[in-house]
Amino acid sequence: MRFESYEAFGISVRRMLALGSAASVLSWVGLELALGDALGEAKTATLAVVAALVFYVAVSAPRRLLDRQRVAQARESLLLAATAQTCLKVTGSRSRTFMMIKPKEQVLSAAVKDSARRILLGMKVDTAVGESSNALSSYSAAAALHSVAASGAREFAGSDEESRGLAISADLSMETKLPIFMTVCFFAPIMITLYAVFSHTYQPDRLVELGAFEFTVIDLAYYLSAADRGL
Amino acid sequence: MMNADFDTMLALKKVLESASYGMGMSQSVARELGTVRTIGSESARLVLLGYPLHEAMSPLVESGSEEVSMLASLIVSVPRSSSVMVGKSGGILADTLDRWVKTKESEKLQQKALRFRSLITCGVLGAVSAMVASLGPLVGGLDFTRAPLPGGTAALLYAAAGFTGISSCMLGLFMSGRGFYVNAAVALGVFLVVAALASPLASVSAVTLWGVK
Repeated sequence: MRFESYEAFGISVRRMLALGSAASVLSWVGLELALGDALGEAKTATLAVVAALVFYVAVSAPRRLLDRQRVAQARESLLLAATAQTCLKVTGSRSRTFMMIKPKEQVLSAAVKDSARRILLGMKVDTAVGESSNALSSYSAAAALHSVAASGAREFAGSDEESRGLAISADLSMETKLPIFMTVCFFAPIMITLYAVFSHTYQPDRLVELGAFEFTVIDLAYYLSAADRGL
Repeated sequence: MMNADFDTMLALKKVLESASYGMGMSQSVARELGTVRTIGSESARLVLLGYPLHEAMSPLVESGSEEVSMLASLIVSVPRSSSVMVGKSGGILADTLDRWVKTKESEKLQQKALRFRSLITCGVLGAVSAMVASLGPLVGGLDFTRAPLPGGTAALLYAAAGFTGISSCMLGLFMSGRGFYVNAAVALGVFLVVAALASPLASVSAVTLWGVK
């Protein structure tokens, strides 16, 4: 577990663990009510696995949010660097440049506004930017601000290594998760139908309970596979 | 036919190029974007009607494409700096964004292949589920004990169709978003066909094998 994501959002680890535990207990109780006795003796083990997955999904939510924020900031950093360089060449002033640039991404915009506020309060430009950029999760975005603050007009190279790296990482993650999700979607209904056949579960109410179980399994797989895509 | 984003990106690159040679940004926008058939022509029209640059460019800034929006945002920043400078630095940015658009385009092609693969998976899933639901009770009924044979297995066929429907909908949602119903339709269509073909076999009544030598 990467606790740096909790620090980035100012979330207490204990609170997050408590929230995750509450979510997993709720999922246990909810699924127990929905499943009835359809799974027989396997019910307790199944509920434990589902509760553990729900716990993981809940406690890892800040990490996924931070990853998404990092991608958005890395992409925006290109525009930020180009705009800042242009403003700097025109005005010749680092302070005025920070007053003029207006990024779209929320955290990046807040960091630039914070830098501008600190500069207006009389702080040195590089110190102000150093303190404000701590909130940024993308090193490209932080580097773009630092290059303007430290050395002034450097040539804009249009470098997008970070966003390319993040895109490759997302592709690799998808290459792993997609077959897993397809396998779950393919085998879940077949296995559940076979279970119904060999346990002679033909009563409609029991079959509905098995349907609820299938939905839970696929829904969890969907969430775990799709989280990186921002779905 | 050229992708609309490519078309707009090309026009915006020309705008930046003209600006870097000293032409005013609004004049460049009116000249270059006026000829494209995309959303950019609306911006050119607004410039000619006398709207300020940031208002005229808003259809592009708020467009769905992130790359077009970024390049348009750079053009909008001109009143705060210099059009020549923006034109020069924008050229390098436009090249990078152009690469992103090309990457997106190849991802779209891969996505199409994956969608087709998911449709095949749904079709096979429908067939296998229908076979299991139709013939499963027959195989499950081959009981070598004196336990009574299960009766009323019709609900299983409907339930299996439901299980297949849920699964194919989720797979379709993952692969195609709003087009998930195509996956569900393929899976359930194949399910119905296979269930209809297997129904003569499924109607064979199983006998108790107790005492058979």
